[in-house]
Amino acid sequence: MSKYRVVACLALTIVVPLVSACLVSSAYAYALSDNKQLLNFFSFRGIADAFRAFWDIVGPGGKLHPAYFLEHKGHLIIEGALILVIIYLALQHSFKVRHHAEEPLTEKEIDQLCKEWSPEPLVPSPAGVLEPPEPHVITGLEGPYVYLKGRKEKVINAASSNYLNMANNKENKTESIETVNTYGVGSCGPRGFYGTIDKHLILEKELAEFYDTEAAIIYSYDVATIASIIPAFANRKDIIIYDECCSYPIQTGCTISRARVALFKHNDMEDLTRIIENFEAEEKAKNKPLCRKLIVVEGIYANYGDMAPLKSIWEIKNKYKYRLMVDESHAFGVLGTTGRGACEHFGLKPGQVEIIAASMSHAMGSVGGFCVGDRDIVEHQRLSGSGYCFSASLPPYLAVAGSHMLRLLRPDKSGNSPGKELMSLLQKRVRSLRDQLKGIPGLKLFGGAALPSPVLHVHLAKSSGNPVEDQETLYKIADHVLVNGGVLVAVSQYSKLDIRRPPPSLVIYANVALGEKEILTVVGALRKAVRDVIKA
Amino acid sequence: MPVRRTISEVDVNKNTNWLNYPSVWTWYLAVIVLGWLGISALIDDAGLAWTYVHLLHGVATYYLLHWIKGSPNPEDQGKYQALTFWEQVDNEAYGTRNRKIFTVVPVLLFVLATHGTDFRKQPLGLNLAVVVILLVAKLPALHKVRFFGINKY
Repeated sequence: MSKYRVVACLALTIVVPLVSACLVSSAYAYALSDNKQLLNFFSFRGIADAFRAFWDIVGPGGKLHPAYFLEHKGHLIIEGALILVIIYLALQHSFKVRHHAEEPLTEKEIDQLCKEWSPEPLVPSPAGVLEPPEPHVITGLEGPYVYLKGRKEKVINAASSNYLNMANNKENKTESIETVNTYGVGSCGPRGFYGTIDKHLILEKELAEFYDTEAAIIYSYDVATIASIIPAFANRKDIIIYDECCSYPIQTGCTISRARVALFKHNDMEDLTRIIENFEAEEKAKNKPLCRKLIVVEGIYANYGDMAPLKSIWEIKNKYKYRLMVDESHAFGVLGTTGRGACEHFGLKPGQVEIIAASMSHAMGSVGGFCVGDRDIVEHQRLSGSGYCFSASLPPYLAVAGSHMLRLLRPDKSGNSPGKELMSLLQKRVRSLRDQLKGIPGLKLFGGAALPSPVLHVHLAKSSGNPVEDQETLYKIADHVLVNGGVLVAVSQYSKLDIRRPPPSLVIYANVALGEKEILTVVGALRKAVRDVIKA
Repeated sequence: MPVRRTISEVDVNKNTNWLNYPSVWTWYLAVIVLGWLGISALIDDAGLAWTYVHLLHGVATYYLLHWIKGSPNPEDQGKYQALTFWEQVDNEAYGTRNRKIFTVVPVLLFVLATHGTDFRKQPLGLNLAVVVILLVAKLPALHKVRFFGINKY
């Protein structure tokens, strides 16, 4: 029923009886009364006079108030009607409103649908996925080397994103052990319920100072960081546009937020502009009130190793008045003059990007994640960030490790810091690794040699077309490299819920502790493995 | 006559499921009665007080049930942003007990208001208009209907 028909029905069923009742009662009363004031009503002496006269007659206490009708048993009719209404209501069964009911399916359509249906298994087997082999067990650490269970000699560890080697830093370990002696291991509670320890507050203050923003907030699980921040700032009415190559935590955050989501082609600014223009046109056409609009990108993409063109993205976001959120997990402590990440690397000042989030488990050598931004943005997350409110807080010794890393990056009067030297050393290693890996026949390095990203994704130069086969080949290469070359490399693993499964790759993380000798060993082992596995 | 099963769904909408708690309707009626007692203490005419109660109740319930939209709970991520309280009740099912009570109370107050005092002393048209507007707003035919785009977003 269209709403205009509804209005018409209501008009008929309510107004007409009302008016007719009034007319009938007034006619009746007039007939019985001997007052001719009614004639004055039609003389149009002035609107105020006319209204006063009208109200004298029809209002409470007046002569033609429906009161006369009602006092003379008329009220029984009304009450009877109302009692019938109440009884009708009481006898109603509950039902759901079929709003603008769709026409029922015709027989032919039903037959068609039945013919097309084919049963699906209750649990579908995910396509293109190989069950990963047993993970390696690390039994000891020694600089860039690790000891594995079942292997006597140590192997070079190129599978940990320990970019600045903070995880093996001796002072870091000493401080952490002292903290454990003072505070114990765990924090025994979420941040809102006895789980806030001064080490957390110190780390948050230092992060805010480091990024030159107003405030910072810490999460205890790095995957939950960006997946909590996005739903805290978006809901059903809002728009989120993110790069199609964003990793699983960002996808999860956008799904949970229930916002309208669009993906733009990887690093394609025209596609981003096109999508934004589409949304603007839609909003304008429907004349909707303003909603929140968010663009989410990563500084260094975890699944591919390349970087987002943040300067162009910032210009687009500024032009269309969107908000920008950057996940700097792999860029924090790696890119930028002071180590702030990809935003600094591309020349963006603090405050230009609204929300910067990062994981503390890569360059920082700690665990968990953080978010920096304006005070309002950060304080909002203290109640709306699910990962902050509903998880136990970071163990204090890990917060201390984070503070230690920030202390290393803090510049002294001359602008230098030990962290800066580590970062430039890391860049040297990255460059060297990339130059040498590029030259391995049979493998293709994503991004090329000039990219300053320490995340190296190495794909097969000639794919077999079947991702499962490719992944098997890569597992064989990784095994060969470990057993024969003494190098531990990782094969990329993705969640089954990831909406975009990148092509299978070997993941190699650059590390400051990998000297030239180690890099040569890594590259040599890979070269030999590729030769043996692929040519075989 | 086949017995029609009532719709059984768990009402997870924290904005409305408190209506299923015990004694909610007792509380609702008690608020109305206390309001009447208060007003009748102020104006000395207990019967006319019912008119005032009826009018105030009408304005208050129209605003709370049929004008304000959405839910104060941030965890539903704006799922009910376009629905008024009346439309959210009981998972949008009609003919349930809560809805029946909500519909009957204005009618009862109208009867009390018109009976409470002489027909000449009360604004009968106003009472009638209020009860008609409230009843119309609660019709299942007007579920999610917005006239002329008013209060749409």
